[in-house]
Amino acid sequence: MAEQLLKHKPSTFKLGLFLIKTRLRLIFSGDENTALNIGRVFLVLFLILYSVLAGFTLLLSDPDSLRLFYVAIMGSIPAIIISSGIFPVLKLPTSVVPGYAPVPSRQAGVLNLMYNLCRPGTIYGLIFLVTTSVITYSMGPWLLFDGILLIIATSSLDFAVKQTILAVQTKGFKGFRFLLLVGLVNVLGLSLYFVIYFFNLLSAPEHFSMYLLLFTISCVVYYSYTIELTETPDSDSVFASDTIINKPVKSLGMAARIAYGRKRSTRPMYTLIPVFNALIALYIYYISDPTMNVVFALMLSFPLLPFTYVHNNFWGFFNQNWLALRMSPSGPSVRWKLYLGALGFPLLLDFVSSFLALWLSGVLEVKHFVLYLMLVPPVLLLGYWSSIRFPRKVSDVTMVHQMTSFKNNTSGLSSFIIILLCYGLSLLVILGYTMIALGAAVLACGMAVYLIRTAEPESDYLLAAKLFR
Amino acid sequence: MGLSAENLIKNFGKLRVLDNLSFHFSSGTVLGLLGNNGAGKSTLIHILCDLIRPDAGEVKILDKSYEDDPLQIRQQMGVLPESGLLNGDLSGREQIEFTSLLYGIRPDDIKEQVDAMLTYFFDDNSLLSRRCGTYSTGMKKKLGLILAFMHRPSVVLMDEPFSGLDPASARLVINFLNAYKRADRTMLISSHNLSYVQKVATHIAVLHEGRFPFSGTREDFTEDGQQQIERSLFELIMPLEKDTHDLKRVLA
Repeated sequence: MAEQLLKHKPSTFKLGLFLIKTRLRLIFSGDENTALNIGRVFLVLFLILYSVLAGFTLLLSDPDSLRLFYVAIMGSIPAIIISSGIFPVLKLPTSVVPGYAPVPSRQAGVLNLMYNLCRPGTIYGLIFLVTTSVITYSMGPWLLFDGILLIIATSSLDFAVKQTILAVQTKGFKGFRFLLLVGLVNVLGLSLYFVIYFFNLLSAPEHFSMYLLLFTISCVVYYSYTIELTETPDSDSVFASDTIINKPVKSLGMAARIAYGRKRSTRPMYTLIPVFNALIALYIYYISDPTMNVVFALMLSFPLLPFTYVHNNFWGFFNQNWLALRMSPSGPSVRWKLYLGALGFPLLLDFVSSFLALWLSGVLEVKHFVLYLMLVPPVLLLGYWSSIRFPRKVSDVTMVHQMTSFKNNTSGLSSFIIILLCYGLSLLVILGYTMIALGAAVLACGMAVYLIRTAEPESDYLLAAKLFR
Repeated sequence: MGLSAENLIKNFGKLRVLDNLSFHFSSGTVLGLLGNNGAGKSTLIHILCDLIRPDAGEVKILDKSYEDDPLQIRQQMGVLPESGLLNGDLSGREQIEFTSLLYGIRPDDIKEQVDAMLTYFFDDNSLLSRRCGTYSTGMKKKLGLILAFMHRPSVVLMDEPFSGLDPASARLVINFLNAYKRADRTMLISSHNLSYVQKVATHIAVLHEGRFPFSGTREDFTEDGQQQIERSLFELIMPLEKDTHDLKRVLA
């Protein structure tokens, strides 16, 4: 019977088309909750508005500031993608093709890459990129080319690293040293990428897509090679043995363990981000004009990305402890402690590495401290808010599951706001509008406090306590 | 020959999970794979699916080796993994469509039989338009069964097919599996639910310390056919005295 049915070979085209179709649907109607779906539409509209503004800024700016805006816009693309909380960078890629399906491994690799590239976060990035490129079409197609290369390169590199880790795990190598090596490759690879990117952007008037193209090709080749390495698509079974992945957590201490919540993950790698940010900042200093304050400011805002990583990935930890925290009379304070405890370590690492880089570069100014101090409170508050958002009424046990979905689906929005805040305040401070930036930061704090207060009605605790008593 | 293996060895670090394991089960066999938690049942299934490779030894499915023609084997195989069987972002119907495309089948070609299976397993098919991530464990399991069987495979490997099912659903699954039995089809069922297994299995294999201390027909396993299967299993892998002794210590 099986032979009778299996007349055709699996078509990559049909499967790819199917995956893209289903993934695009998620952008607008990924949830059963109508309110959330409306929110998703608003998010896209907001994104388009931001893209239009970015496009016109590029179009209307003078040649000197054009480069800087170009840097900011190109930096926005990964920021938008990453801030959506679902970009594959530093996240285990999903294998949509089961390992036991009758599909050649290379074809499965292509489909998995396609599926992961079509995550909503990446689609947001593409919407931004395409909209901006359309508006700036008179300037040539370089923005579009570079942006697409940027997305493919970072995704491929990330997938490749993760595939390597999976292969290490399944093949039973002595994992820890290999993981360190892989982490190093990851960091060096991404560093190289940004170095090439910023170097060409800042020091050379010509377009730099060829450099990026070469780098992107090397990333894709690396990824293609690693497809052959993996033997299992099932991350549960892959991480069933508590070996390599847990060890970096131990070496980074208890705070990191809390931050990353679950043992079976690659999240410890996140702590390397600030280090690589600092390295890039230093490198840029040595290759470019040391007065490039805007770049340094942007670099300073980059370390805040780990905040969003952490709070997005905080869900795993929160979901498991949701009920306990919910029922406890001291729930909110416990949550604050957990949240701040989790962020403490990356925050410290960000702070030290960023300012060390600026100091070593000889460009450290008071305004950098001011900017950092301005950014931390609203980011923390917004992050906290995004970690406690629940529906107001708990009607039955199944709501717990829906809440998990609710949180995951909207975490991108808060991350997005945080990233925009980082960029916005950075630029305002650098341009000398410190008081306006301070006002914006205070406003953001006020908004976050209001959101926190309205998100935590006392009745929820009582209702939950009754329900599970 | 449906399923066979020669001298399988699999180590996870210092732990030897499969220790020179060999077996031969002909087509038509429904094998109930029993064993303690951590005995290596899932590992064995993963090796049979070619998801992980053994450190030594060889597996043959329908007399073919994965080294020779992995795709042909996979085309004739259905798999129900214990976890990660569905993509939470796809709806049930999308999951079915995607799986049929993976097997190179036009969804329209099997629409009738898939609809029949859906009607058999689900009271309310409208739920299938919701994302799989929102399904209950039982729903996921039943949909996973449909995905494993929709292309009418000659070999089916199932890891805990009864876990998370209510008694009524379990009965549906048992009846389905019994109806699927045929001389040219081989099924492997790894399960902790012995009463369900004995309603389906023609053969039993007990995996313990990397080997099969027992492998044979269900009737042989349960002595005269009257004795409960549980007792036979416990005699093999957990002596009753240990059970009682440990309980006394726990409750002391």
